[in-house]
Amino acid sequence: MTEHAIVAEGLLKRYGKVTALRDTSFAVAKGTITGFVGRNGAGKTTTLKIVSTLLHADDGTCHVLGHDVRRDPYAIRGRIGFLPDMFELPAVLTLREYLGIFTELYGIARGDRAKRVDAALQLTRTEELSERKLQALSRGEVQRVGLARALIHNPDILILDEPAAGLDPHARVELKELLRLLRERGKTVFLSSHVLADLEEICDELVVIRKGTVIFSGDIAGFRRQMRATTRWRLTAVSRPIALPSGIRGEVVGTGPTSMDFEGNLSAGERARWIAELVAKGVDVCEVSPVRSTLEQEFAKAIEEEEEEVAS
Amino acid sequence: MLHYTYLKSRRDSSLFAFIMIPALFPLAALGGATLAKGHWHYPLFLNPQYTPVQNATLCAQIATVVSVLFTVIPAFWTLRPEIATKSVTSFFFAARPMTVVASVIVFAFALNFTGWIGAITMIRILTGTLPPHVAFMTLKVAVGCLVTSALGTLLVTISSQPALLVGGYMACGLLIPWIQGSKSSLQVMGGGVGAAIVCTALAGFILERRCAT
Repeated sequence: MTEHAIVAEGLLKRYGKVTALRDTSFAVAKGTITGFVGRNGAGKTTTLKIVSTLLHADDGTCHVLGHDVRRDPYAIRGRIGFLPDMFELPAVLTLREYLGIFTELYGIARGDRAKRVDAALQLTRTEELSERKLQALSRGEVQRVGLARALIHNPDILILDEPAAGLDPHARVELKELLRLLRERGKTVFLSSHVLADLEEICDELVVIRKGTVIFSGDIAGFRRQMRATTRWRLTAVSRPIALPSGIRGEVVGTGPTSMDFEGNLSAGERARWIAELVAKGVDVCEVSPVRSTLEQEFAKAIEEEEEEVAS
Repeated sequence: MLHYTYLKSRRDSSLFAFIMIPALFPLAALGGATLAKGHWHYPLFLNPQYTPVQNATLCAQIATVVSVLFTVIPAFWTLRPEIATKSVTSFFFAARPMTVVASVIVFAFALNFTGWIGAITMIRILTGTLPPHVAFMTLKVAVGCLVTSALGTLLVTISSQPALLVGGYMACGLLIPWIQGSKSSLQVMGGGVGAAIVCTALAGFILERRCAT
């Protein structure tokens, strides 16, 4: 049986007349990296704040490591590392001093503090910044410092709100490596991101939220299966344009000089008929293959379908 | 948390400024008044017709006002950027909001009370005497600094706009005469500490609520 680090059930949160979350339920399994996806204003940050005990839901329950976020927030706070989407650092302190302060606040034994700071610096690859004042750091470096701070007390769960924001491609690769390493060490990572390609590479599970409601919660393969009621096919010719044969149900979603992307339920027989028809017309077909859509496309599709349902 | 406030304040030199303002006040006032009479004279005076004890008393009363009034500033200023940007929430995972608030209050109190000790030392050196009832006066200053420190912290949790400092000064307009006029240490201790506790509790509550939005 899967053990869950975070279980949210029926969360409701209103800001005045605006409902930020409605009946939001999901679970995050222990020792996994779970991505939290949604458009701006979908309720990601609100949910992360509730999970982090910083904000109370108006209704519903949320348990983190078995503790109720409302009843027992202080038991949770010491066991999670939280990286908010936006934060400032004290400009006049060095990174080592800053992390040292947190080792004191977390009550780490005096003799272990320097070791903890060194470990966090090493883990986030910020050793070279350790003696620099925090005002002299770039956006990406600030993000890494935030991660080092979130990790300083060796938390069981890491909650990251848009951790890849402002990072250059190299830093993103490093972040992914770090998150994988943390998973190997048994940590649970719950992160929100707009960079879905990054999530696809590292996440075990996905929670998709739309206008305050979770529309999917499960593994990435499950998300793909749910989305793949229709499949995208690409037909490529050597030199000539391709036309859609008659009698095939589906939709052309893209065309190139010698290729066509077609979305629909194309059976093997239909594929053969289509190719035969094109060959009969003198089109030199060189490839018919399913197109593996990116998570970003699947996500956009999920959102569009939801919006169409709501509109209808 | 106290280490953080101390380190931050020391680095941006505000620590030195906050302590030295009350401590250097008697030097500026007594030195200026003495030199204004055209010649150097020891002991220094505010009014040449007063006795040294009267001069020391007057100077100590003004130093009391300065110490109590200026405690609002470090209390308001020390964690102002963190509260304004809500970065203070990062501390909430390691310490309770009440601990954060209490640390700022203790820090601001310690700065200005140290400044008061410096001021009294300066008065003793420059006038050659101490004001009468200096122990009771010190108690009044301690309570006054505690209340204004809690008030400054409460104000910054309500809003980090510097204009709110004006509200703090206006409150001091009521607090200082009350402290100066108090005749018993019990009255000062009871009223002042009670007010400080209320401000601290409110500040902790407001800070957590504010960072949750």
